[in-house]
Amino acid sequence: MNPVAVVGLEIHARIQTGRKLFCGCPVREEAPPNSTVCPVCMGYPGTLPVPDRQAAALAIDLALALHMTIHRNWQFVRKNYFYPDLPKGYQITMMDHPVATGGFLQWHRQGRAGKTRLRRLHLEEDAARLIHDEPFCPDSMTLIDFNRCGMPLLELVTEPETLDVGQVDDMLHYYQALLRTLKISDADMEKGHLRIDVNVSLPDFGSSHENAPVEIKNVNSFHMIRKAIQAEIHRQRTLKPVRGRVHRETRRYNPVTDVSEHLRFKESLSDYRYFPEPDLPGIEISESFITSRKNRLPDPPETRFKWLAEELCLKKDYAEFLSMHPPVFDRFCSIFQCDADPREAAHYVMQTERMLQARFPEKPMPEPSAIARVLNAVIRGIITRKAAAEVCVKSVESNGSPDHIFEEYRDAPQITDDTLKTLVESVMSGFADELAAYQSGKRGLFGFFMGRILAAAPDSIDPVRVKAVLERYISSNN
Amino acid sequence: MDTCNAYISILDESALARARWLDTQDPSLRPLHGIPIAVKDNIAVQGCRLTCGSRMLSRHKAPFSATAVRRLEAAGAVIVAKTNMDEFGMGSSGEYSAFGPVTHPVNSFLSAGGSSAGSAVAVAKGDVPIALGSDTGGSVRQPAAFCGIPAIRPTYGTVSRFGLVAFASSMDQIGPMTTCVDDLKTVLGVISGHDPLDVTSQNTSRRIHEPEKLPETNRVATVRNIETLIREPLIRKGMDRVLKILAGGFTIADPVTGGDPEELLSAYYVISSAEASSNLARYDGIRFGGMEEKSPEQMFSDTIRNLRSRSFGPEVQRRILAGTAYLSSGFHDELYHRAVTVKHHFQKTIRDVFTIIDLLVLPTTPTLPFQRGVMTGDPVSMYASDIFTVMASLAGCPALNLPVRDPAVFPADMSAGTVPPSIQLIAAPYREDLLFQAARFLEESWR
Repeated sequence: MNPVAVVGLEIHARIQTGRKLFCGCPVREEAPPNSTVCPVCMGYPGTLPVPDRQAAALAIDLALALHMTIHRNWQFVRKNYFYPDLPKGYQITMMDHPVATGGFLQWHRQGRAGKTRLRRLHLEEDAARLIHDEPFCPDSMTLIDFNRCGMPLLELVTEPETLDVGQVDDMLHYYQALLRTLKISDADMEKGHLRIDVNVSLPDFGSSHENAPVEIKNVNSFHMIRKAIQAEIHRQRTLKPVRGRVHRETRRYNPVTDVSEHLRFKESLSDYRYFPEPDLPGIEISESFITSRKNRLPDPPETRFKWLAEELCLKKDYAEFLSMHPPVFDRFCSIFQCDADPREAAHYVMQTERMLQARFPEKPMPEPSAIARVLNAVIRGIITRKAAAEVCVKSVESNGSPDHIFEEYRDAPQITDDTLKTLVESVMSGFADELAAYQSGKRGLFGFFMGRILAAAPDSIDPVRVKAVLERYISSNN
Repeated sequence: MDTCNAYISILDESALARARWLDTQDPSLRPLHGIPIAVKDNIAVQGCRLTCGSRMLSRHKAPFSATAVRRLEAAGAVIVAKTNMDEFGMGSSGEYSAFGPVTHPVNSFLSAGGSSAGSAVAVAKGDVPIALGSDTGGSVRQPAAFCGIPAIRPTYGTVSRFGLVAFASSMDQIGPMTTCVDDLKTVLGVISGHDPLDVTSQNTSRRIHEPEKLPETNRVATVRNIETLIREPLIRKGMDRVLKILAGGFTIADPVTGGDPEELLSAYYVISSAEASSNLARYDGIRFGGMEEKSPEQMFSDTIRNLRSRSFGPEVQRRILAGTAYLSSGFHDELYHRAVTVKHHFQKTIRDVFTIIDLLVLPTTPTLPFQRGVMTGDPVSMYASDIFTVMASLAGCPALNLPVRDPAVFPADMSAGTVPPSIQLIAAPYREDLLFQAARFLEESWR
């Protein structure tokens, strides 16, 4: 069984607005050090911050998805402290009037589910990156890269709750998927898009557990968070009988020794001298702005899972994977919309296409409609799944359309063009009204016609040929 | 000759080049075509040093121009000099500059006021007809009063603060200093208006134009119980004379009750020092100005501690230390929070006052120019010289300084070695039009 602790999280996500929070500087992952900077984010004398509207929009999106109470008046504050990564000597963040408070994160992953209560969500600017221990760094010197300085962050603070390590892991994975689904953040932990501070205290401390949370910084992967919490629980357990009390402190997890190390006690915590940022008087958020964001909010992974599992009857693990991986989900949807069978489409995007992307990372993937035709041939037994995958490999390899390569894999007897034409005419004669409707603009009926003709045709018929004949029939009856 | 030490940088080359170019242009196209203007050295002019009167920035060059400067240049003006000032705007005597004290143009033993001392002197000496200053607690109005020239602190938000080096961001405002009221109005018209680079700036250009309303419908009053605070008889005489002249055109109302001046002065110093302690935290010598020699052995904290102790003057260090204390837990509620409450309460009081009357008349300063050197050892007395100017700063109101050049107060034979007393006109936010109307009425009466 996983060890249990009272865990509170502070999750910083870099949001993908493409620019910094208070100046126009671009946010580019691969930019050379100190190249995406300007006088504003360097804190030059005489400069002023101008907040980015898009950042506010994404903050509202996240607050909506997390069922939070969105505040109508936001107030930025200055958090004052000296550190070389902070060019102004203060960080612009939020305190008493954040973006939103309350709400909950309804997470589920691999059949497990839970609900984490939330405390607050606020916008703030990132600090510069300090580089000490790279090989190119001279001895005992620190280099500063101001590119990161001023990048927009959304900090989510959860209410401390008794959780086991697995639940923390599930919740964080779900939150990452949510950020990606809402297109708020790439949430790539390796690239530092998602940075997490963990507060841990033992639940058997009675009612006073909130008095002694220990904050662990420097946990940069999901794996490390698990390890850090486990190590901290172990440390506090073994410490208890000796000193009788866990001190409120900040520690840093050392993955090499698997032990957290003391950084500072909270009692002697530096005083940040918060006060309202005078350069940014209160920001008012209008009801109409919130409504406009609400109307274009994508479904959360939870809703996507239900749709995939319950309406499309996909296997649970397929539905799970698709709902947690937005780019794969989007690809699935575009193929599904071309009348592909959902199960075949899911199998294709999760197996075939991942293999294709691994083998041909530079090449474009086939058109969704072409894939749908190949997959439908599988459904009707014209070709096997294995053959369908080979069709796709060959088409990507040769930059060709699967439709041409498809021909080679058909092993069923052919019917002649004339026979097919007669078949199409006889079926379509029963749908004169529908054809008129189609020609007055109801283009969605094409799929209906195809379905009827295919149902009447021998199983081995190639839908691509049917489509061609049907198109000719429709245009000649126009 | 810079006999008063009014300038930190003279922009001879760039100014001459620009003047030559302007000579080839049609002068009717730009309202300030070819007018030489001096700018306080805490306002950025691209490519030019921006020292704020501090050793900390003695080698810093601005990579951009302030919005106010860009607007002046677009109107045809030529920036000819950057003027000396009390370091970062902190001081009321022109003496706290790393570049030496500014002296009064009529008597070198006198203070020219501060912090926009160099700008006031530049105009008073006749070097330039127009200068820009900045006013946080009176830094435009007080030196203008000491040097006997008109000047205005506009409503907070009228002039963009982009390019103005921050002292106390919630009260800083750029203001023009000129030789006559009409010029104040022209310059303010050029530099005011919304700027996307400053979210506190407002669109106000329309409001600067004078109203149709006749002067007699405007009610003028002074503030009750301020007589004891005026320590100079000539200023009292000037106040009486101004009210008498205004009675000939305006409706004089009973004196109004404002806030407690002593309490407002304290609130001003708490808020401005608190904001300054944060605004000046960025000067660590790493990115601009500052660091003269590398000190690789030292830790970051030692390096910046030494640099800041060496490069900030005594008054700036005093305010940073005080401001840091005011914001620290334990003092935050008792000092910073209380000062903000006083400010908000006073803003409400002033709103109410301006429903009863239209214009307030106050002295600008409690004294005439004091001797140089007498105030530097006594910061509290120095702060007290701002007692009449901090009111408009806290309230966010526009306030205009006008020297009383009335022969009955300041006869022509007195002028050698002395300056006339000044009064201050204050109106409700965005009612600069009323200030210009009354100031011109007064100016014409003694012309």
